[in-house]
Amino acid sequence: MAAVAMEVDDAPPLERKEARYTRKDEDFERRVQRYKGQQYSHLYYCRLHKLRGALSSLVQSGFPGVPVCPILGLEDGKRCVVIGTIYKQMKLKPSILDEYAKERSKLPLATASNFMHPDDYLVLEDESGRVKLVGSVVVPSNYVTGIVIAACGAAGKDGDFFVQEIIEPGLPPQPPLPSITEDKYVAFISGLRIGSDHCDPLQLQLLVDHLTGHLGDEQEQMLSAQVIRLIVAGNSLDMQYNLLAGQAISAKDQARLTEPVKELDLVLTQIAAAMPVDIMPGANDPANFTLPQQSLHKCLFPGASAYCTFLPATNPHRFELDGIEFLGTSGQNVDDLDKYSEAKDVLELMERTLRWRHIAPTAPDTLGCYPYTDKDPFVLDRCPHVYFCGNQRSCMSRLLTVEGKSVRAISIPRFCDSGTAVLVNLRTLDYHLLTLSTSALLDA
Amino acid sequence: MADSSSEAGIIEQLRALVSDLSLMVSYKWLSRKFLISSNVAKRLLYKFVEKYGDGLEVLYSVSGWTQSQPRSYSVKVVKLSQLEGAKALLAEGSSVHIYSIQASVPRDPALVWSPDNVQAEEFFNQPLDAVNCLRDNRFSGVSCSLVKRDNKGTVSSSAPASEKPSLPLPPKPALMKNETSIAAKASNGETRTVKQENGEGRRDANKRKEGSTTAQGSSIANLWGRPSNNSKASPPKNDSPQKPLPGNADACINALEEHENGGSSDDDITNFRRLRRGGQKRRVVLDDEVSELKEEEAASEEKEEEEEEQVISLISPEKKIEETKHEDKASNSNSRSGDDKRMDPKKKRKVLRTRIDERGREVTEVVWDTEEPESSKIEEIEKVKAPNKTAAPPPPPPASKHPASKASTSKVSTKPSSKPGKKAACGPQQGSITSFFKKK
Repeated sequence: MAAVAMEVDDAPPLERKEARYTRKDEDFERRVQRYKGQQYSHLYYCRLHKLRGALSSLVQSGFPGVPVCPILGLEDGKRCVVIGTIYKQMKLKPSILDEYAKERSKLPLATASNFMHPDDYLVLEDESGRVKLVGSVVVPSNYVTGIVIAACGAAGKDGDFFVQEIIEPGLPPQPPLPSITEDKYVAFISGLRIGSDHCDPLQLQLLVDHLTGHLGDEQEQMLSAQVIRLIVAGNSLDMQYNLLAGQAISAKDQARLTEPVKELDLVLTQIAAAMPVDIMPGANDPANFTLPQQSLHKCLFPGASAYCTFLPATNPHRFELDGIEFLGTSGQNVDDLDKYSEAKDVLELMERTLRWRHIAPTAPDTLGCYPYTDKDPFVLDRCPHVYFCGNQRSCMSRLLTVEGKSVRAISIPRFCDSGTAVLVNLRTLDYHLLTLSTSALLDA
Repeated sequence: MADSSSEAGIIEQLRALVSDLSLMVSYKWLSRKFLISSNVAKRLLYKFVEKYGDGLEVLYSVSGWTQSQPRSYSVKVVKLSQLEGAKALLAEGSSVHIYSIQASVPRDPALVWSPDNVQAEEFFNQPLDAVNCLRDNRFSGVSCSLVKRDNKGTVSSSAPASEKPSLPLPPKPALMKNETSIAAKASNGETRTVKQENGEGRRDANKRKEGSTTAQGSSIANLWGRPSNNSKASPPKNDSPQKPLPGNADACINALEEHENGGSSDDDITNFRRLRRGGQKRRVVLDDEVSELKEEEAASEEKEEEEEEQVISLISPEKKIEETKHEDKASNSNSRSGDDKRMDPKKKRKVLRTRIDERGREVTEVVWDTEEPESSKIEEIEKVKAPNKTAAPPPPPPASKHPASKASTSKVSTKPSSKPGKKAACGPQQGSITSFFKKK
């Protein structure tokens, strides 16, 4: 065994930079919540209650003198403000009752990607009643069920509420951005989809080698030494769930089922041995379905769990690095918004969620969610500095500056398709991509 | 360190591997195989290609900033023919190094990845308390002081004293430290180089960790070292404590221990023996505490005896070590299961214990796991084991006091003895019926 290291001409390894990390997932952890058969009304009530507080102050400053009325107390023609939760009546929205409809052929066929229809309309609902919103200001394609807004206008004779202006809660208060002197990067990847056919293991290995400091010359290793943390934002696994057909699984099938998990464990061990890593569950991962998804169990990763740098996180995931607040999801919230509303791009949807102060407004209507009784964990109290969303088609990022607050919004592309990771500089909140490619091997 | 000659040696070995065995050698595979850092492996590959590169295909890794927007750092694996093209796309200051050499480049990237993966899986599948180059990332160019691995059986990221919760030795903190340095020295050169590689920040943690885990085995007592591991580091030192001390029970133990040293294996070692050996090993002189320990070593055997006695006396309240060691073999099977229970010596628990008794029958019992030596062990032994239990130690009380039997045979306490007794009664009853016919 040539157990000799060439130390003479070998420089000592570079030290990886560090940052103070605080995990802030308490709201998203289910902990001792016990389901007692409750319905979702509590969740909606908590949401309305919390956001009404924020809206009232805005309404008072924006519309002084205009009273805030409950919906059942609306008088015809009188100008007032109503605060409530939006419900969007959608023709094409799939409903479980459709399966029992006698005349199925009469129902319009809906595409799976988007359920919008020109006939959609908005209804505002508070504790007392509901009222349909009309007016040119009201553009149903920009809104979804579940957001809380204030509408200023007057009730019409036919019972509809003619809206002059819609007020959204706006961005929550943001803690000041700390100044950081040196360049430190946080790396984001998502959609590794280990176990799927089109996942390229060499590409992933290149990523691991680059981040852990094996690849490249000294300059490149200096770059990787500046990466302080890796966040894996969901969909790391692509397990063959069709094997779980309800019958006993043969040993061969069992091996096939668990192979991707072992591979992921090996990858995470290599990374955790070099730097801190957070892994979030995604829509296809072996975690619970409803949001907030609980962290992947450490028994799935016997190798990586031994490291203190390995952190299974919830989805959504909130943490703080050196005073900079991060918040993000594995993409289910934005994908659901995309199905029921229209926007220019993913970043616009993300901006809307910030304005509505709610990460996943369509939960529990169309997005699975736990029926909390005492809180709505998706309501934003503080505005993050970096807001990310995983498993998107491409990487896009914008620095949203609204009302004096600036947020770096990033959509993280799927790694199995794009081979791209995103790095954010903590000092400047700037971002750049890291692309890894093995496609040259396929050329002649 | 003779790097140039060993470099040449590695290059020669590489030549054999690539040409004769048609292996695909990547820099990472090379670094883990020959235990050199990744950067050195890359240099070696370069030298190899210069010397013997004919007929071999080389894959390069090209990385650098691209010139497009948004700003992107690109890492690509390319063949020689595509190298210049890839470099042209990148901004200045791109880095190129050899990724792998092989007889022919496969089209499927997964085939390029596969030898590295096989090697990585080998390291990955090692027992959880083994520290290897995969698990501590020792050959990379970047080290991280935050990383701490919890090896089963030891607690990481803590001071040496707290690594041994079951054996507090307040009067001997210096020895504790020596102990870890002893084990560290046991894996000698590799540990040294690893320490160098990993930079200052991790030195202490690494040393402690490696020291505590290089000894194979799964319990803390293994820290005291195993004869096979430590013998190569300290054979001369071993000789000195081996002098039998006349007229002393400890001496008998000593002598017996040395006698059994050679033939010991995992299964035969009992807690007691391990601890005793650990008491000796502490005497070994290594590392920083050389001068202090040499004095200790040079000190009289009496002092040694005292120390060992101290060790024993400290251990005995917990383990109830019996001076007669030949009882060990008798219940070695018990000791095996006893090891698991060692961590919680004082807890009383009801556990299901499955044993293969000497007749090959599988006996499952519900037992209480306690400290107390049992006289009811006699009854248990007689009931559970067949009438012809030859392994029953001569006088049951001393045997039951045995440390190894503490966990398993002390499983029967007087009160719930009826339960295991009952269950045990079924066994021999079944056994006795058939044995009437079978045994002749």
